[in-house]
Amino acid sequence: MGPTDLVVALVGNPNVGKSTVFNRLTRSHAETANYPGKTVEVAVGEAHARGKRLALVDLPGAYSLIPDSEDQQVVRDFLSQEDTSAVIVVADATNLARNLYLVLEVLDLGLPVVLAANLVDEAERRGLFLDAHRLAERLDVEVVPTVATKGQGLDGLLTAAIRAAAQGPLERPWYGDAIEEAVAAVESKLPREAVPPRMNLRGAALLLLEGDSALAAAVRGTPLQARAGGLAAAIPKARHSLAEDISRECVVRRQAEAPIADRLWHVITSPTWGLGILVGILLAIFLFVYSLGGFLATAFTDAWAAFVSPPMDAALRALAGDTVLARVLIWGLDAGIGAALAVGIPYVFAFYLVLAFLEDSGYLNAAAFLSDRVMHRFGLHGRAVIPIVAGLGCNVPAIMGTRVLGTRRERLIAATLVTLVPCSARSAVIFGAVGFYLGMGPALLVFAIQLGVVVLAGSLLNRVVPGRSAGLVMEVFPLRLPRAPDLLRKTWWRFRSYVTMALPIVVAGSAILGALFESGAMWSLSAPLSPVVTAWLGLPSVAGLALLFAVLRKELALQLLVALGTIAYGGGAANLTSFLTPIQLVVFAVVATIYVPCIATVAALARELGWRASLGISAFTIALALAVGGLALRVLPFP
Amino acid sequence: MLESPRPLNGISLDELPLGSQGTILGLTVDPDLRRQLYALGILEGREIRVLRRAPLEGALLVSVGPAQYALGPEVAAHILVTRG
Repeated sequence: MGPTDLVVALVGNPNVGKSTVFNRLTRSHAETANYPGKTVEVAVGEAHARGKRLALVDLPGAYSLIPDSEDQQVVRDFLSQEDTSAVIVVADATNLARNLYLVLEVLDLGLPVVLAANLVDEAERRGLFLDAHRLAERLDVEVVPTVATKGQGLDGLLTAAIRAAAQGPLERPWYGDAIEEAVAAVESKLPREAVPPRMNLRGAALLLLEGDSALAAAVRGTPLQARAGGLAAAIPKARHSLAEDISRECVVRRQAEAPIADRLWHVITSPTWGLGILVGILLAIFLFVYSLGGFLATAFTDAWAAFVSPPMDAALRALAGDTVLARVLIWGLDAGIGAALAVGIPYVFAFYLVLAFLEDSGYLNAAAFLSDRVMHRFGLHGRAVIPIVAGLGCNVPAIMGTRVLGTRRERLIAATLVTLVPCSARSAVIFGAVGFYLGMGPALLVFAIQLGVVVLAGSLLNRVVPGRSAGLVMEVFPLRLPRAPDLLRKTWWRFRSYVTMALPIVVAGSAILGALFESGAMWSLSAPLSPVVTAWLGLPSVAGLALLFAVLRKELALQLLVALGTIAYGGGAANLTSFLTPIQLVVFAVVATIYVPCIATVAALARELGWRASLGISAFTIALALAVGGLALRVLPFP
Repeated sequence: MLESPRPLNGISLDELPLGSQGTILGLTVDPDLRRQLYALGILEGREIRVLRRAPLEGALLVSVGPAQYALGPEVAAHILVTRG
């Protein structure tokens, strides 16, 4: 993005419609970017008003500026380190009191604020009527009532932000004599170096007195250290008290009907039906992704084979002649991209769409509530259900999703379990190798084995991994029907990240594979692998090679199997049963699903948890795959 | 989690009957968890109502003001409230 006149940050509690506001204000001129130094992605977009160019930054949802997880840390870091011209706080009018807590914190930082009181329509349905003028007076900021889903009130936000930026910070909240005296005392002694570049002294003093760990660390060794956390209870209470006060004054309550969504919620979380519904929904997801994904996958592969492969191959051969190079390039570009599209587009896209729906409707939080107890077995809590379910689409974003978990122990365990969850690529292998040749029953058996492995690994990790896990504390939202444009945008952004990440790896990986294959170097690996592959797993050496190289991209396992099989056994190898017995197909699928995820996942693990953890997890899954594979060979009743 | 002597008329949140309400008397939890609860408005003096319990003696669904929260059983066990 080029130079802009103003930087406006959007903050707010989770699920208040902040992203809808952002999407509407930036129309289609938005990009996701990595916030420097962190792996959290932040959406940055451009908007225009009054002849000025504004950069809008959609920061993650947060309840407070003292962070509980990595993505909340981004909000804190942005506001305290970046040059923000103004902050638009998006608040939920149905719960103004609690939302005002964050508003007051941002005002404490001395930043110019505009309050978008969103969901006013929802509030009115519940009998709550907001007096925006009164609120603006009490807070001394501009208040704009909005209904972001309908685009109402949004025009005023940008001009209000420009005005706020021009005026600069105004009134600070007042928390009573006792607290304000303490704050003043700390402010006077705070060394400037202890305070982040864009944070004001008042904000820093309040954070220190509240017990913020970053500020406490910054004043270690100075007399101020004794003050850290001294008012850890008093300040939040005073802030909430003030927020309640203001809210009582500015919101008129009249009786109203309980909206339908609350009644639906009762059914979804009922002790008798809730778990059953959850399992039902998981099965429905499975079937939806399988059928829609499968249908599109076949359509894509056929279209690719008919319209793209022939001209592409011809062009490559024309360029490089009938050489090894040409064949390697064909491996990389034709087979590689074709594979990515055959699995990526249909399955991952379909899955992301479903995931976005589950998130935005609020159902995933219900799922976390229901499954919290079950998660304890694995040292996790209900929140972990979200990245674990996301792992069914693709492990990479699911691993990034473990950022919302509060402690390292939970992130480690959750990330490991995510890698054991069969992603689309591995599901495709199960369907293609076992489902196709042996039927749905055996395919479901492989999935069941996988589930067993996840449960086993989780229990094991719970015993072995040191550290602590924090208890579940999560807001639960009324069920809402998400808007299609928001769903599609979210899905598209995730899908685009997936493709930009996956495609180069797939092409490079396929090309390497092609080089090893065409040069014949691949076969030299059969002998060293045979004790494990042949003796322990009972598989022919071509299957071992396919497994080894599938680490580049799991869905290549099948293609490679066919290609290698054709060389070793002749043309009929396209039908896997011509050289693999049923048990071998099952063992192959089981091992392929459990052992180290593709290199993209290993890289994602390294980014989130460090290289040692990443390699440790990979080694763990390899050992597990070999153990379970060998056991399957000896125990399962297949010929 | 920290232990502290219970006031005579206090029970833990997970002992509150479903559907009933109590006033929060104290939070015997570690500072990080306390901060998290405070940010949500779950503080001493607030009214809290228990709405549901997840299967298998699981998490509690509670309401504080207009918002609803899921609290793990081990968290609920350390929130002291007045009886009903």
